[in-house]
Amino acid sequence: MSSEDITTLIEMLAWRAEVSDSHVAFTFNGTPCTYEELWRGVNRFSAYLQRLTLHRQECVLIAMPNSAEFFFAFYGIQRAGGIAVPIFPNSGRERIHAIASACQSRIVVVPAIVLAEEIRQVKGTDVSRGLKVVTVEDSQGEVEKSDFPTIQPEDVAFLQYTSGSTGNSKGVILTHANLLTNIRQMIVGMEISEREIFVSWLPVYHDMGLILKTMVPFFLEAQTHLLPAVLRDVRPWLETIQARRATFTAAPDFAYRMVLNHVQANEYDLSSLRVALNAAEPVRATTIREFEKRFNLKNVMTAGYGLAEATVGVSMSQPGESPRVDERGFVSVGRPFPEVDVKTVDGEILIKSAANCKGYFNNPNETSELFQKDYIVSGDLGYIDATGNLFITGRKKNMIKHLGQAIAAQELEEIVDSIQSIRFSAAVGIDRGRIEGEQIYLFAEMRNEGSPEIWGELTLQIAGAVHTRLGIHPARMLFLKPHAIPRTYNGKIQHFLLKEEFLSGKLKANGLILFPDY
Amino acid sequence: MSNFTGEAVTSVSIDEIKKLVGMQLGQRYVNDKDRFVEDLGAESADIANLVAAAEEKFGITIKEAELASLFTPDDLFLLIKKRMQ
Repeated sequence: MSSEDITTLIEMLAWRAEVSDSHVAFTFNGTPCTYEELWRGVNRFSAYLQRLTLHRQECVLIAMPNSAEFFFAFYGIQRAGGIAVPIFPNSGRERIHAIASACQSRIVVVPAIVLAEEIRQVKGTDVSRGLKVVTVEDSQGEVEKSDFPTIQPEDVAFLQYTSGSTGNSKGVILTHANLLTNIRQMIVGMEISEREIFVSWLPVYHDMGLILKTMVPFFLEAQTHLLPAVLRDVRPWLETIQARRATFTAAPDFAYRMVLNHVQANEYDLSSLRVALNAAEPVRATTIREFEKRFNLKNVMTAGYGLAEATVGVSMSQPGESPRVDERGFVSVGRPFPEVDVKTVDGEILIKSAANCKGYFNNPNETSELFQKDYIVSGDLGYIDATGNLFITGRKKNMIKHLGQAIAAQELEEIVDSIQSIRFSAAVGIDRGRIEGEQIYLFAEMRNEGSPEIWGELTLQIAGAVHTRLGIHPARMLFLKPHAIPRTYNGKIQHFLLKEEFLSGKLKANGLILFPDY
Repeated sequence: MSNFTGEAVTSVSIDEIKKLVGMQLGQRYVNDKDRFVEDLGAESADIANLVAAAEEKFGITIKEAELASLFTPDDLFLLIKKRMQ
């Protein structure tokens, strides 16, 4: 057997455990985990799930932060024939339950380090509402059984939830075949070899961190050094790149801007880098220029494009080539990877690839809207220039790109609209041109005007609800008079117009903002 | 000094700052010396948002380099007070 023959992620890990047994699969916070240890952990957790009588292609939620145990859970579920559903570990109970019910999951895997009190709360029957809460540690002492089901390339490996809004959740269905296809496409398109040394703090529960930074290195037996997905301090990231002589790192533009704000020239030697991929949010030409200048690098920061619906990677600019910036300041995200066909229809990007997902789990309406014949409709706007290079210029769908995570405006609006005294709400992403990038602005029309006390109380209530559900804080919360939010004849929110009216000061000038007074 | 609405803002109190911090971070109870990150659960973007809100409310500018020395509502209060003098 060789890497050419691999058709599923489970085959990939089994093969690695055989041929690379004592080699390090990854390090987390400096602690190594070998392919043998990884495989043993996967089998133990899989045996444990079988004892819980996991059905074939049954969904199991994982709400775990970056850790070695995440991988035992993620692949253990697949090994037992199930579908892994990794979600943001800070998801509040409401979101966990919304996703669990959308994919009919009865088990959720959480980290053992969650405070004892929280476990007690979550494990309590009222709160868990029928969900069984387990940890990877529960599988300790489990005998590794050998009668695991055979996994097929067309079996679903995992669901990537891009929206968890009630009644319209979007869990992207990715098969083993999809993943192996995109792994191979990225290896060729990004010229990745087994000599690559990856360093990543990206969330392993999300596509770029999970597929590019762990599956690709596992496939090639390349080194990958993982860190906690906490970006309060960028230094551990840079320290690890320097110490490991890393050749490949990836992050959204925001993270590189943070580096520029906190780190001086020559504090770190990043000269080992071949690629510093900038993706998952709009790439700024200034970030590329300043980052390379600060660390004395040349043509190392590449711009990439991808989306969960095409597994993850679609295109990347060539390392070693200077970035292409058009007259409007958009940075090209390069040519599509091999066997990926990209075209534009009315300015919108459509993608055809064997890595295209099978649709959204249990959501036929959204699935039918996703496909146009053999192509997926990306919702992103852009164009391809005469040299075949792709440029992304905006978004058609109303998604807010908050710190590299795509959040549907609708999901935020549902939270705000559920509050009795709110008549109608709209969420928009606003980039003030400063370090933090696009941030969430919530606009809410009041049923009855209210008073500063009421608005203050509502701000706290809404900020709390958004944080509990999505683990994020809105940048601003504004209360408006009825009918202040512009809508079309058939009632659709005109997000773009609202943003324009707010930024130009028109909302304020027309006396439509009740609170706050700035 | 003028803020977003063009009205003059000439004074600031620690209570106003604590209220602003509470609204931004979704915290009902905020003390002068609570640390944004450790005690109030803020991420770096939350601090940037808090500062942006303070700038708009009080019509001042806070440099990005100054963000690194803002740890508590009290720090923010003292910085804004200094700017207003």
